[in-house]
Amino acid sequence: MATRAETRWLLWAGGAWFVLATPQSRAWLESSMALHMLVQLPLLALIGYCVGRAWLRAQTGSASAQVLGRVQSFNAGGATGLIAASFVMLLWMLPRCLDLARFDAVADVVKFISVPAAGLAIALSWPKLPVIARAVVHLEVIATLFRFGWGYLATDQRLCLAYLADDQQHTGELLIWLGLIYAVAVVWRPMFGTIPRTRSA
Amino acid sequence: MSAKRTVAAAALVFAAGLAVAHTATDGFTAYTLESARRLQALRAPAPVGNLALDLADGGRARLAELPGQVLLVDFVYTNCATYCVALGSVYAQLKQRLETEIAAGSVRLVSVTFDPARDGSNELRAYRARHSTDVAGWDLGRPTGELQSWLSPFGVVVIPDELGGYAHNAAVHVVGPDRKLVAIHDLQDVVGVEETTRRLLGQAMRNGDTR
Repeated sequence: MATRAETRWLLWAGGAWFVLATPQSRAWLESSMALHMLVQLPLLALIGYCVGRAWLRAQTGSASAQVLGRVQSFNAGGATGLIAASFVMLLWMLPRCLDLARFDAVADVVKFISVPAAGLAIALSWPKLPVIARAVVHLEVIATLFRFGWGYLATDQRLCLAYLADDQQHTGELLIWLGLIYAVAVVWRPMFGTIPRTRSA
Repeated sequence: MSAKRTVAAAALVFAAGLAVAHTATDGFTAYTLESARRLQALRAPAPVGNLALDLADGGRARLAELPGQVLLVDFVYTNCATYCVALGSVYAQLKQRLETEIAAGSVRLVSVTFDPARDGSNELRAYRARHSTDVAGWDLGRPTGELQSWLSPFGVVVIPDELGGYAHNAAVHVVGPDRKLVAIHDLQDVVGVEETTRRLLGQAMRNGDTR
């Protein structure tokens, strides 16, 4: 049996997924490259992440906890989930895939399933990830945001056929800002936060 | 036990991820839809012979019915101040470079408008006149039927640009004697268009195609 909190999270996530999947919100969020890449994709991943977090809180002994245990036995250190999520997120950030999702309904369905699945995989994997691996993931996320941001900014060509050149420039700028904010957010506490004090004897 | 399972699962997921990425990018070569459609033209040429035009000079013709072994097709709208102007001058250059072949009737330039509501015969002829005084060998036309039925096989995507015009993937599309789309060249790549055209004409001659 799912706990009440768990059920509430699942309902929220499911509701949000359906809202995002309505033709109106798809048309709106996919009308611009910045909205598509920086709002719709993260929201879909967040939905999966919330489902994953709820699943992790499943009551010990419940059926969902048993399934979770079986799934996690293939995910020691969070490696499997993180590899899967990396592939999914990287692929959907490619201009070709953004275009495909815009033009091809089947591709969009694949996106609406795979991106939340990536979010779920991250939720299940993150708590199992060793600290050093978390640092590597943070670094890779920052690098990816800069890489894509710079790629979209630096090119004179329109990389997505579905989106205008200005939109692409704007997305590039936003990706770089996002990379900066992410970097500051990640290093702020370890660098400037309170230093854990050694316990006095 | 869990570690062994994880190594196996992670390896499997990694292999699957690579396979999907390989397929989604045509073997890590095409990361944009534009490069994908160019690759597609080379690997699996799409038949376009049945597409018909209302010609600006009068009459209606399918691409299969147009004379010439090689057709060089581009997509324009006459209100365009950027790419279509460049395409017009590219066609003027091609008319000079392929003068003999065009005069012999083995090569034909074809400009298709994707703004048929605004581009009538007069507008299309005026567009051609802005770029070339010699009208021979350069057909212009409006798609008959659905515009999308023309754009899809060529992989042309047209979107409104918020200034009352359109953004579109401008290129020169090479259609061979069998009326399949065999190559797509950048609009700056006049030399490439010329080379592909001559190669196709050479092949057609060897095959005895006398269209």
